Amino acid sequence: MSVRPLPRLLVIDDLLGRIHTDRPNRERANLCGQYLLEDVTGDQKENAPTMIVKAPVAQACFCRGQRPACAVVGDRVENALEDALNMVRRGWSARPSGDPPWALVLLDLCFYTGSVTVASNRETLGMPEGRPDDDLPDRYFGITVLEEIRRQFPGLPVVLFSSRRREDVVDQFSKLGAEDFLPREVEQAPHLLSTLLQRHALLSDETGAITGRSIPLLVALRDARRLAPSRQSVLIAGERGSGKESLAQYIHRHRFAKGKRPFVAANSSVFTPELFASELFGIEARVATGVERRGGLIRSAEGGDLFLDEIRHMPPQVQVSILRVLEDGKVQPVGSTAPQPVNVSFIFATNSNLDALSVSGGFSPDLLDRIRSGGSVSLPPLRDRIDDLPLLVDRFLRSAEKEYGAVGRDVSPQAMQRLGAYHWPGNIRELRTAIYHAVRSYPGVERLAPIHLQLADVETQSPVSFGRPSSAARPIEGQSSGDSGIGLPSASTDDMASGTQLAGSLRNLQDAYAAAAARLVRAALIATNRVTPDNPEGRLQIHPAIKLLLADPALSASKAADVIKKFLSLSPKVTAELLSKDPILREAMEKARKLRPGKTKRSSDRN
Amino acid sequence: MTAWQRRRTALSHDWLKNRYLPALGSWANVLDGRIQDSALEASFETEILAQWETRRIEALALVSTFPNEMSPRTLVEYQSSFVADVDLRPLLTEVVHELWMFRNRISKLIWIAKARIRAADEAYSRIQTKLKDRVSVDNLSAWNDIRPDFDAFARHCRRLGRILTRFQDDVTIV
Repeated sequence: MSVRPLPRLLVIDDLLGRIHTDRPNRERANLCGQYLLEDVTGDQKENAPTMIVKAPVAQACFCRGQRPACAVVGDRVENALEDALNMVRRGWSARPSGDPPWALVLLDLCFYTGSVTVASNRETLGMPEGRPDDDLPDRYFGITVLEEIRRQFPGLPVVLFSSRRREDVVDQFSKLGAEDFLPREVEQAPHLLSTLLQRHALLSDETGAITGRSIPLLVALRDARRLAPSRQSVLIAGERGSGKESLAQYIHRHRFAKGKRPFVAANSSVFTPELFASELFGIEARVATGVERRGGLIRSAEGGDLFLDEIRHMPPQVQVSILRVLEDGKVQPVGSTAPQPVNVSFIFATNSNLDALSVSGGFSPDLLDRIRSGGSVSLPPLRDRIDDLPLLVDRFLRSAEKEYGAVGRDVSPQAMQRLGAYHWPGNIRELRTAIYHAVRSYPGVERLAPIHLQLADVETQSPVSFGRPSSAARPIEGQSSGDSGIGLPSASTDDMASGTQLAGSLRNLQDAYAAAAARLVRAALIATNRVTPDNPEGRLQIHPAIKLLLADPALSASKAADVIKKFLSLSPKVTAELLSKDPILREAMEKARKLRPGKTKRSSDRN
Repeated sequence: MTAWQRRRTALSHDWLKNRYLPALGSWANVLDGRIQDSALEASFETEILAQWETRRIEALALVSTFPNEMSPRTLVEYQSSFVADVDLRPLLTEVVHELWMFRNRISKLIWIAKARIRAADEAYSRIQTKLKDRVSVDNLSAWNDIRPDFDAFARHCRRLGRILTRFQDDVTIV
């Protein structure tokens, strides 16, 4: 069983971050003792503190944010913004792959600068006497650091940690997006810190049920924890296979941390309107011959949570019934005349754009308001949390080996590269399937190579390196956005000064627009390319793809073909290039032309 | 920044909140068995806890001198342009001072701060009496009897820190 990693805090503070040549920083040790922090800074190796924290709340890394970090009488101490930001970067965008990011930054406000004098050194070892500006709230160095953190590391949670008055900086810190203000004169510091961490920090799932330490995943988990205390309805949005039910269970665990309550999960798409009422609301005995009394899913979740997945597929009659339950807090079993009160929280999930559906009439707007009255969480797709791939692969390898026999498998770097380059339309579920398939199919192979992985070749993208921020928007195979001539041009001021160059830039912009439109079409084609009873061979389908792209379920097949033709004809140069290089787009265009053989109106025709 | 503000920064920000209270909090966790810290155990009673004896005097002086040093009366006294009429100046000075005291409830603020210092003093005295009377050779187990007084002392120190923050930062006109 793996030991839960402790959250890692970064503390930027002039007093706590300083080091001494001949003794430990006693103020830092006392703070660690007060908050039960394990100091992992590693800057006091020769003067290691004598403290042992038995059950630390978190690990802490301390940074002075000034130079020199170790100052003696006669030194001048100056603020060092870049040093502080480099420290932030080391635990954020530049951290080694697999390492968790900073869970939280605790940031001091007032940093004293100037000369270290005999008197100032006597008062506090290594501290300068301070300059008048250091103390002015509108000149606090901490605010400067906060501004830069917000600019360079926008998702990083920061809590101001100061003995100064909250009122002095309340406008600035809320405007700059600090999560909270932690004063120094607190009681029950470890408990307070734990509460802050739960509320604001980027923490991995303590149970290990949700695997991953990537920033997008940790942000989703934090959002989920923030919603959990309210028992109002929550909506989870995420692509198929991205782990929506696991996130619902995570919310449930945090909602009922103190006691076990029921968690009932159901898929809305399996309910027919006829069966729905009895399945969900229950049925009274003797409604019809041979019918036995059933409590129904809602009442079986009494006191706990009911998770309803794929709510987009709820028939309209069912949507009306659910809305009534959410509004009244009562269910009426089939065959009963009296509605019965229930104490159930609802967690809904969808992989569709319900806002767009509610506009087009595909989903009740009233119900949509209700099902996210307690808030909503977006679960990132696997391609946006590709840093988690090694952890997920290892997890699925181990679980597959439990089922099919353990030989201590691992994955070759080339195979990992291939997994990292894949688009993962089926997300984690698809990854699990791929790993299980490889383990099952090659029982004697200890190191899985690319050849053992069953992935669709056409969807392999350019290689990625782990440990770098990933993005959903990747260049189309064989093209780089910068050099191919179809990426956004780098327009300088000088370019704009010339009319000829301006015209050239506009053409480039149009090309970039055409390329972007083609990428959208391609993404939609991939997202809807699945094996279904109607499409047993998993062929490319342009109609569902364009319906998804335009969020228009009523769109006809011929209109979809028109859209494909239009989107893939925005720039003759780009179109020719794309269709020659990309088999998916080529196939889509051929299908569209077959369905709507008329002439395509090109943008160049209008000019 | 006035001299009074500098003294408050040194006492409240630099010493009490950044050094003394974390040390008291750390010591509470030593007593609870949540941390082991031999350096703190060796120095707490003599080098850390005892700091209160000198700092309490600074705290009392700081609070007591607040009305004189931070009253807007100083603006009237030292800036003749405020009141051209020399005869009126003493009267106006007192009016400004009294208004400031009344509107900002300065007397009450000072009374609360002194009460907190006194309460911390009393808890500190009880701790010192029990430390002198202790018979146990094991320092930490002797602190079991002292714990309620220590918790009270730490609480009063925290509350003193909070009330010192409420004293205004600038010399402002009423």
